[in-house]
Amino acid sequence: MSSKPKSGKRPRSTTRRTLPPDAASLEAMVRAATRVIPEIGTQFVKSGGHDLRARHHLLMRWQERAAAFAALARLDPERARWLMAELGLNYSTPKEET
Amino acid sequence: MAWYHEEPLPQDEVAGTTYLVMECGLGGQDGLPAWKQAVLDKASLMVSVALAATMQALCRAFTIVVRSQDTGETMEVSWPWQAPAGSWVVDSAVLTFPVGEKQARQAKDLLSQETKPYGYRNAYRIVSLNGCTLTVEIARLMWRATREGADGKKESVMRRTETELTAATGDWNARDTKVQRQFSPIDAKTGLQALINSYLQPPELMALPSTLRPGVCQEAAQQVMSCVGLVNSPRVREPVTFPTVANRDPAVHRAAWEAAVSDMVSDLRPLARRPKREVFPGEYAADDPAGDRLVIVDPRWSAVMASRPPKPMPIRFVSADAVRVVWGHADFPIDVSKPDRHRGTLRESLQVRADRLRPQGMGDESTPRSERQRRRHNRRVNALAAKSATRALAFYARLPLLDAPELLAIADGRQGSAGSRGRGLDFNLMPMALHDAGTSAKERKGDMPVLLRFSREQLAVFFRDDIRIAWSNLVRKNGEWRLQLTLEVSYPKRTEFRRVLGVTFGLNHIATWILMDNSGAVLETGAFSPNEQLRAFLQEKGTMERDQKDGRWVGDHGFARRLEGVAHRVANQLVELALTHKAVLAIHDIDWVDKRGGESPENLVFSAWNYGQLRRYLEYKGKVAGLGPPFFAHDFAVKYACHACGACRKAGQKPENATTWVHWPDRTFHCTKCGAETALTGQLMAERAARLSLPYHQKLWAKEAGR
Repeated sequence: MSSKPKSGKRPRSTTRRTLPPDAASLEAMVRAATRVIPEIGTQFVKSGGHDLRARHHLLMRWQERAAAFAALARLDPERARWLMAELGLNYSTPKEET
Repeated sequence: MAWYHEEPLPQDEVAGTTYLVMECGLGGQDGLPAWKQAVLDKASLMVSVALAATMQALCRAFTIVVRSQDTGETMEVSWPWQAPAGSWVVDSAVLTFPVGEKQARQAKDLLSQETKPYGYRNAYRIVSLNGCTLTVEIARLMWRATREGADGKKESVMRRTETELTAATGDWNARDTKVQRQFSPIDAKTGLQALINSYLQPPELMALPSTLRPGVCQEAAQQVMSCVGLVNSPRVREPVTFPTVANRDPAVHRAAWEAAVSDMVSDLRPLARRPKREVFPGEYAADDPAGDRLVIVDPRWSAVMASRPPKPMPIRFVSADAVRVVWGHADFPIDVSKPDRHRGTLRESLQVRADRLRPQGMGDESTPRSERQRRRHNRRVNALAAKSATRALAFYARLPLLDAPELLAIADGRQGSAGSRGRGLDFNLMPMALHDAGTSAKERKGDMPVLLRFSREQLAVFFRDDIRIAWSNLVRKNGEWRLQLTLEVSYPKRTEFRRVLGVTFGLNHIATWILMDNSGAVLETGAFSPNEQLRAFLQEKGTMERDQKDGRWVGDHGFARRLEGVAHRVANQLVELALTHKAVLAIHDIDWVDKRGGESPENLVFSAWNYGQLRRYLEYKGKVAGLGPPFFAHDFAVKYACHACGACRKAGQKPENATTWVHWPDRTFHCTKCGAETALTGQLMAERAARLSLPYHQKLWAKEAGR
């Protein structure tokens, strides 16, 4: 327990990052997030719900992935469908876009 | 306005007992070694399984006969269990369950000795034995008539119903006979607990280490008896269900949680969000921008948030001598025992020497070493480490856990010394003072010693003779096991103390004290200044606000802990002062400070002022130190009673006709009765507190002198 404050500023939330413009990077982003999300979830569950940082991280990563996938679906619907089938993801297009 | 001073209770005047709960971390800097952690986790799991099984067995065996208060009809409630709502009272509570042959024989013996029809000789009453099925009564409604006999002694008759009672007490004069309905449940701590342990015996319970069984039995018994109490209570309107610990099962919760997380993993649909204004209607005004913030209302995320697994079941040791605290010497590796100052150099030199020991060609990991070479090298390095380690005094708790085969298997399969700190423990452990009474120093076989981590203040408690462990719990907090010791402190009152230490708390001086002898003469005065508490608070607050402004992380500062430390120190100093001057405590009992309005800086200072905390600390520290409970002089009397003539402002008096009054801007005290006019200083208030306690103390001292 240190009495000094931690130096440095906190990083900005990951959700505020701008999404990459090309389909390949978006796909890579979705793949990467799909790999780490279960790990973060396990970490959260293992800690008995105490790891608030993991919880926050889980939500942020999840939202980031959802945003990237939505962008990919808009950019290249065929590729998004393939990716969805490959990773076993569940996605339905939001109402306003249909 | 009604006010009174808080005098110590009569039973606390001479001697008494008080309980302190002390919580110690387990293990050294890195926490417990892995195998000990595994033993505790496994033991907790076994406890929760045993408790669930015991509750299940009790639920199947349990029958309650309830009687309607309106119509008098009776109804039997048994498994599956649902007690009716409304005006029902418990007529009797019975357990029926199969027992083994040995238990059946015991029960038969007990049953044959049964002479009194309605007495509870043994907290529970064996009703019948049918083959190997035992029926035991644990609570019943009785009718009791009492009267005073000719020789002045009370005699009473107890019967099952009112009619039976009337028949039995027919010759009694109705006028001086007192008839009462009495619901007599057994004492859950003893009877039902013993019944579960010796007759019910669910196999999961018997698999536990013997020292853990009473804790589980007590927990189960308390829950069942509390359920009986609920059914019997006229105030409970809802139907009562049998208590269960299913919601404490970590496995169930974990499965639910994992399912929720995996649902989230395979789902890409966006989370549903709604503005705060809609989620919390009426909370936000139409033009409040905070109401437009979106919050997640998605059931998928709610499932993750809601399925919070419970903490593991605490491991309870009901018996007083189950957990023992012992001390011994242990070799600590250099990086644990030496403070940071020397850390780098020492570790480096150790490394250099270890390198020098290494034979040629063994430096890099790629060259294969022979087994013999490796062993010799390890031996030398270990010898070196042992040489440079520090032998330090260490305190251990002996946890009686390794009684069950599952836990023994973990202990036997543990790794060598790798990864654990503070090994090299010499096993000539000595019991601490708080165990000398009633326990022997003999080592018990199934014990697991764990290193205790505690504060200096807690260490002082260990060495006291008049303290014993009443019971103890092992709880898991924030992923770490901690030992809670409930200590029974028996304090004889220091009857030779004939002085009073008056204490008041303030803003400039955290405490002002005055020493007064038994005739009321002031001997000595003093004050603790500056007010460290306020200083620490304001400093820390400033730092924190600056950090917050800069966007730094402001948690984990130990802010509250630091302030608590200051308060403890001040309270300890006051108690020590009282002990050195052989005085008892009289404390100005401030319980309320008027807040100032608006932007006044005093608002902040008054909020940070810890008069209540100091009062609380002095109350128990005074007891533990043998000063007895302090006398608390009421705030109003301290401020508004005249120090010269004793006149006090009365209720309903206005400023213009008040007997005494204080001009607060310059804090001057005025008495209209004797014309006194003085500054209302801390010293004056401390003196008043001491003087107000004098009548009480003088009476007590006179009583003690007469004894």
